[in-house]
Parts: sequence; structure tokens; C-alpha cells
Amino acid sequence: MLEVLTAFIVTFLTTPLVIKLGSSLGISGIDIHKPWKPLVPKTGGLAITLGAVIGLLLNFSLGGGVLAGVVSLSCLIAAAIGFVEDFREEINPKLKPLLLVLSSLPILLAGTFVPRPVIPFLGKTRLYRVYPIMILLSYPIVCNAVNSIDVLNGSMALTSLPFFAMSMVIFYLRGNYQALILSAIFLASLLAFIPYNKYPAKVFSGNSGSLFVGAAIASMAIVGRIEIAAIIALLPQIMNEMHIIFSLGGIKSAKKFKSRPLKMENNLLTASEESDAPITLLRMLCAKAKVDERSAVYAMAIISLFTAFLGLITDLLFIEGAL
Amino acid sequence: MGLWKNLGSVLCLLTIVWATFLVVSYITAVTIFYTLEYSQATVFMSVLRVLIGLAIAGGWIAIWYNLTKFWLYRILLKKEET
Repeated sequence: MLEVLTAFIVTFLTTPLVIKLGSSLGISGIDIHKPWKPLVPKTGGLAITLGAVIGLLLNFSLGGGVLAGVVSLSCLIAAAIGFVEDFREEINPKLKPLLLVLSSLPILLAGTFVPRPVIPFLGKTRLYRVYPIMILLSYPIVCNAVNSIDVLNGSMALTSLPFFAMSMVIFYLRGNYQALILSAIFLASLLAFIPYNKYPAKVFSGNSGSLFVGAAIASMAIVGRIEIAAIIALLPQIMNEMHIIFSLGGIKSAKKFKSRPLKMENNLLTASEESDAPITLLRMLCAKAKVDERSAVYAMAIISLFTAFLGLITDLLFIEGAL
Repeated sequence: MGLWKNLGSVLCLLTIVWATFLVVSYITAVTIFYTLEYSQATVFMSVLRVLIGLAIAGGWIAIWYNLTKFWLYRILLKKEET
């Protein structure tokens, strides 16, 4: 448990430092949902990454096995891609998924996966050819899906927490305590970040934070053998990303939106009614309603809690017995 | 109240998506995955099986997208007029 506590403390203590760093270097983004349009440092990903990676490396040094090292390497590659976007400029949206494939390589090369997923109604399968391809695809999909939901103060962290909580319950029930500790490290790091990122945010997680968390989710799903439960828990994020891509007619930058999905009326969020605006989860929540940012984030977190619960139910009903 | 009604509506949509995902994951496994991993059938039968699997998986994604569009434009954005 020392590594979990360390991850929490490191993230909690380093976040004020990365806020100062972001302000002094001008690495900031405009918080567009506030009437006064404040400039907010987008360096929070550094603190999440630092806390979680130190926790993972501590686990490795305490004899936790190679898993912590492999997972931290995967996450660091994704975070590095995010850092480039935060510190310099947006990477070509068609190139970014290809770069994110690199995050899958540590797990593929180290062989820390079991290509025998359990499929509901079918049971255990042997996917020695297909599974490595699915690993390659999973990182760009999950990282971009998590990134797509990072639209309001605290939304990325609060919608990611239910996945890690769900995974911890499943790992506990299976007696997979190594995976349980790794999930707890990521959960602790995100929990420590929330006080700074919640409404009104003092810092954004940036692309580095969301891609790091996306890679963490993909890694835990693979090494912990909770692929189906993870897909179900991530349905809101996947739906959000998929509908944005379909609405835009392909993988394009969010800056290419002709119409924004949301409007601000009297400092409250409301959904655009234009047919060419992208379909997003938040737009659905704000349809014909005027919603304050804090309530919208809570609603998004409730949706993630609900799908994490569905993921847990699915695992208990269809997966556990077949493993 | 609007937000919480919308939240309930989105949860209903996601429940439908979850239930259909379970079925589609099974169909994908017995068509595409089975053919790529185990099948010793003829090339024609293997290709046919993969194509059927891809069509069902692709169709499910298309239905999901169109169902969401329907949910947004015909239910959520229209609810006060009906």
C-alpha cells in the first residue's frame, strides 16, 4: 500500500508546482465555459504522470514484478505524445493514432498479456493471431476516447475513476493483487489531482494527462484480463469519440467544427440545436436544458459509474466462471 | 430538472448499447475471430464468414450512431414540443 500512498502524495504535492510551471512558461489554455475566460495552466498531466509513475516504480522496486515497469513505460509513451501537444502544438489528427500505437509496444514486446479473452455467451477463446492486433488498436482508441471527454473542469478525472474502481473490485474478487495495486496507484493519483482540477479548475490535465490515463486504462484492461468489462465501462467515452468522428466525417481536429456542440446562455451550458453540430455526450445531457458546469460534470461521472457497474455485472455473470 | 431527465435518457440508451454489445461481441467472435484463428473451411466460406461478421459489427456501429442521433434530435431536443 506504500506505493499507492506515495502516488497520492506525490501528485498532490507536485500539482501546485506544475501550476506555477505552466503559468511561468505560458503553457495555458482558455477555460471557455467561464464568462471571464480565464487562462488555466494545462500542465496537470505532469503531476498525474509523476505521481503514478513513481508509485509504479516503487511497486517494481518492492518486488512487484515486471508488470509495473511495462505498464509505466506504455503510459509514459502516451504521456510524451500528449506533452508534445501541450507544450508545442496539436499533432496531425491522422498521425496521432499511429503514434499512440507505440504505447502498446512495451506490453506486446514484453508479452505481458494472455490472448485468451472470455467472450460473453461463448466462453474462453484462443486468439493468438487476433489479440496482438487488438492490443495495437486499443491504445489509440482508448486514449482518444478519454481525451475526447476532457471538456469540462474535472470531467476526465471523474469519468475515469469508476473504471479503476471497477477494475479493483474485479481484481480483488479474482485474487489478482498485483493488478489491484497497479489500479489503486492510478486511482490514487487521479484522486489527488481532483481538488485542483474540479470546478473552478486551477489546472487542466492537458492532453498529457488524458492520454496517460487512457494508456493506463488500456494497459490495465489487457494485463488484468478485463477486456470486455473495460469496453463496457468505457462506453460513454467510446460513444463520445465515435460520434464526434462520425459527425465530422472522419478523424479531424476539433477546431474543424463548423458549429460548436454547446452554447453558453447566462453562464449556463445548453445544447446547440443545429444539425451540423457534433453529437457529444455533453450535448445530449444539455439538450433543452440550462446546466451549470459542476452539475454537468457530476452527470457525466454518474454515467461512467453506471457503465462501470454494467461492466462489473457482465464480468460477474459471463467472465468469472469461464476464467 | 432537464439535466436529470436527459441523464436518465442517456442511461437508457447506454443500457440498450450494452445489451446489444454482448450479442455483437459473441457474433464477432464466432464469425471473424473463429475464422482467423481456427477455421479449416474453404477460402470462400472463410471470406464469407468474415464478411458476415464485419457486416454485423459495422451495422451495429451504424445503428448505434443513428439511434443516438434519433435520441438526441427526436427525443431530447424535441421533448418540450411533444
